[in-house]
Amino acid sequence: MADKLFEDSDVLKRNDEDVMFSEVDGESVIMHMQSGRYFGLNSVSTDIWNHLENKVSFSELIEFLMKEYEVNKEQCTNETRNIINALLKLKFLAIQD
Amino acid sequence: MPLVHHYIYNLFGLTIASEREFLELIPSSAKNAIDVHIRFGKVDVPDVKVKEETAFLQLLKQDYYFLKLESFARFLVIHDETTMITIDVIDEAKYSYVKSWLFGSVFSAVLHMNNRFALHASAVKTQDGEVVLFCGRSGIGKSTIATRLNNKGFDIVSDDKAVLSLKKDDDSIYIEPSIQITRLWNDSYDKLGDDGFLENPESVSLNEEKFQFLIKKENRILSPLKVKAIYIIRQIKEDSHLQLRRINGKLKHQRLKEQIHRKQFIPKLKKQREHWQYLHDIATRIPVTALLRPLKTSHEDFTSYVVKEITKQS
Repeated sequence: MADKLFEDSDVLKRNDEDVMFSEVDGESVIMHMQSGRYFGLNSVSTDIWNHLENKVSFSELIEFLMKEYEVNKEQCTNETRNIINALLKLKFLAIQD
Repeated sequence: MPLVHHYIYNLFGLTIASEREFLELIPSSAKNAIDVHIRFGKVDVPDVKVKEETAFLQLLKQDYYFLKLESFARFLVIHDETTMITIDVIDEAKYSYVKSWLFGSVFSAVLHMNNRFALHASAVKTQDGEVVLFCGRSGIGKSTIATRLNNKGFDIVSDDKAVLSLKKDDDSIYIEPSIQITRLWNDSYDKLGDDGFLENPESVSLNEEKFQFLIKKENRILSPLKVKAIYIIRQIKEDSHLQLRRINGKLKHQRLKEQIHRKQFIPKLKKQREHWQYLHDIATRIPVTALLRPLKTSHEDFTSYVVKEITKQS
């Protein structure tokens, strides 16, 4: 069970001011400008990142992913929560006030 | 205050107007706007709190760079619509050192301010007219391999710093004309012997073991050339063999970032975004390969291996 750093209704937003994104050789790369930390994204994470361009709640994000991928809701929620937690900890994402 | 400019040069794609002549640079007849002015005059040490009177003082912030070198020179760079470099040469006897710092740290700051970023690399032109770059840590043999390749008919395009730019018309990466010098470690020079393409080994001694030579006029590359490959030279343990390893994705981005000259200046000059875009432009268009060289490989074997590789690419 993933840590619960946010509620399902919380709106997630990308820290586009502080984060740079690039796609190289089919692999997505993001970097936090101040810390210089790199993070590689697989194809699912890249889809999540792209979908978060518009601020959406975690629940809305799960709804979107359920339509895109053949996956059960529990697995989708747990795996996505892990990815979002990592992106929050690295300050690539923030929770809208 | 009107400025009198006697010398116009093209360096790294920037048009430079200087009050003094620089034999290391390519004269330009450009009528377009000047990007960088170099003037000589008094530079005061900024009023900043430092723990004690230091021989070396460097201050960086957005559009501003100050450098004090012991008792022989001070530099001030201010970037507005154009970049103004003021050089205060306190000891003319050490002018060669002043120039080394000018084309080193000072110009790295100037390049960053102008959204250009130099890779710490040497570069040669291959038979098809395109360029390959050799990166790697200081002392790994970037200049030596470039000089040896030159002896085998490959023109040196750049030594030490390579500024790349994306040309929109053919969506390709080009290398801009560089400083017309090559720097060799003393032992490399001894082994290379008399080189037809180098002249004026006067002498700019950067330290006891490294020397600088001007590239002869007839061997100079005067306009941008297309880049087709980047190699990062790395030393590996002795019992292995010469090998190539393609670098992709996130690692490619990271490895390229590590090769940027004076990359530590970038956050202070607030150029992270432009820097990232530069790395993205290169990483998405140019293959990057690690060139792994065992410790005991002779210069001859290494050169032959590289010639085979870059000829195969042609």
